[in-house]
Amino acid sequence: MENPSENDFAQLIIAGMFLAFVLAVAIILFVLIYQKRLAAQREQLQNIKIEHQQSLIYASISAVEVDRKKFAADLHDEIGAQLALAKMYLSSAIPKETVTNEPSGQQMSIQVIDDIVGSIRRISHRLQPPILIKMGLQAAIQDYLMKLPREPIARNEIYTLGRKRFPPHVEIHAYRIFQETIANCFKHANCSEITIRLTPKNDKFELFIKDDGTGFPAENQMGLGLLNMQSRAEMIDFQLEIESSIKGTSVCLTPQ
Amino acid sequence: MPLFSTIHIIASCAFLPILITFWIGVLRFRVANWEERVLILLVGISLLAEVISSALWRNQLNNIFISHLYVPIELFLMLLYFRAQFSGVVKTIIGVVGIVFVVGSIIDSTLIHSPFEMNDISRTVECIILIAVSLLTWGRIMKTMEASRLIDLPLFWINAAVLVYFSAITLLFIFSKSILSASSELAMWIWSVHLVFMTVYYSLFSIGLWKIRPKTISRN
Repeated sequence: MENPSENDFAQLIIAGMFLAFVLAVAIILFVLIYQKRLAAQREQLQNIKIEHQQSLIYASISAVEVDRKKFAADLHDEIGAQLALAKMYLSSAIPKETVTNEPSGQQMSIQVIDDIVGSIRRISHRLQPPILIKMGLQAAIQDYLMKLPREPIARNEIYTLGRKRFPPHVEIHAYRIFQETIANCFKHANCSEITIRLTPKNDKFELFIKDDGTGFPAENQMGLGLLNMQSRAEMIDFQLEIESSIKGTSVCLTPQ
Repeated sequence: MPLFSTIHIIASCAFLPILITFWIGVLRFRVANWEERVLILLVGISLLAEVISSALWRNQLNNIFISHLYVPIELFLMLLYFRAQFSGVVKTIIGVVGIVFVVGSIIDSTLIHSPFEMNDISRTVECIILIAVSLLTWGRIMKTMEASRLIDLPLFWINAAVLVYFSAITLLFIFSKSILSASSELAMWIWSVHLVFMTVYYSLFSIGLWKIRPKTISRN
């Protein structure tokens, strides 16, 4: 272009076009950066909320265990002891040479007291199983299953953990997960066989429970019992994998 | 190489970005929603306009009437797309602006100016309307959407294309008559620069159309 004014005109137009282009790009970049910061803030807030909720759940579960322990101890030490005392007084009131075909009122009372003491012992052991504290997870699981009826649900049990011990909070939470799973099998699964496998894994253990029942729908995975189990697993740095179909349900507690 | 040969080559390349964008649009047509299909239709019309315009230019015939036909269609279809992103008063206003522009453009092309004369006013008004709607859309994006999804959204890329291109070419259309009445060399240089922006426009548009995905995915 030989005309200088045309040259200037062209340069002005082109410069103006590029300036507008750069301004438009700047607006777009501003929106992108602003949104990214906003999303990062929202994510941070969400993480804080989740952490807070998790810590509330963990605190609640821990408080429940503390209460159970205290309640079990109170049941055994206070009520159990007083019932034993009542039995002793009643026994001492029965004449030694009495021979009758029918038990007396006092003897019936002693029998009732014995039954109550038995119930209190069972409740207390369910709340805070002494065998778990004294002998570990495998013994506690075997003891629990031994007390359940063998019919109509058959059991297939494999234990290779032995007497290996873990921190108390790990054992109690694993035991509660086991208890909840077995309770679900008996209450809801409509199964004929349960497989229980407790084996060592990565310096810890793996607990696998499977039934051949009817399974449960996906929406039940958000039920309170299962959420509780998930929380307990997370508290002890384990992973809980639950698979359910019409052929049965499997629960696997495995180290993370 | 003579200037006009260079310009012929550049003009031939003008097809490519539109062709690629149209091809991507055709690929995504089945999974697009109705407003995205409107955009794909617009790209098809752009391609047709470019083909006819180019054929007329090569035969040294006046092709400006194509612009008179194309501009109202382009704005109308664009506003149809952007209108779908809003609700309430804004949606109504965009609709009204679109109708008013089309009517005004028809009046301008038939009664005020000759269809063989550059429609600089229509073009400029179109640019301003689209820049305004684009900025409104950015405002809505900032209020409602999350950044993790932003670059995955077709709307992000389409809106970027519109803002970038129409901002750049507004000045061009304001002075389009002066440019055309100046030397051929000047006109060709400036239209070549326009081609650069058009390439950017259709590239961003292509990405936007490529990002169109089926709206619901069912996995069993």
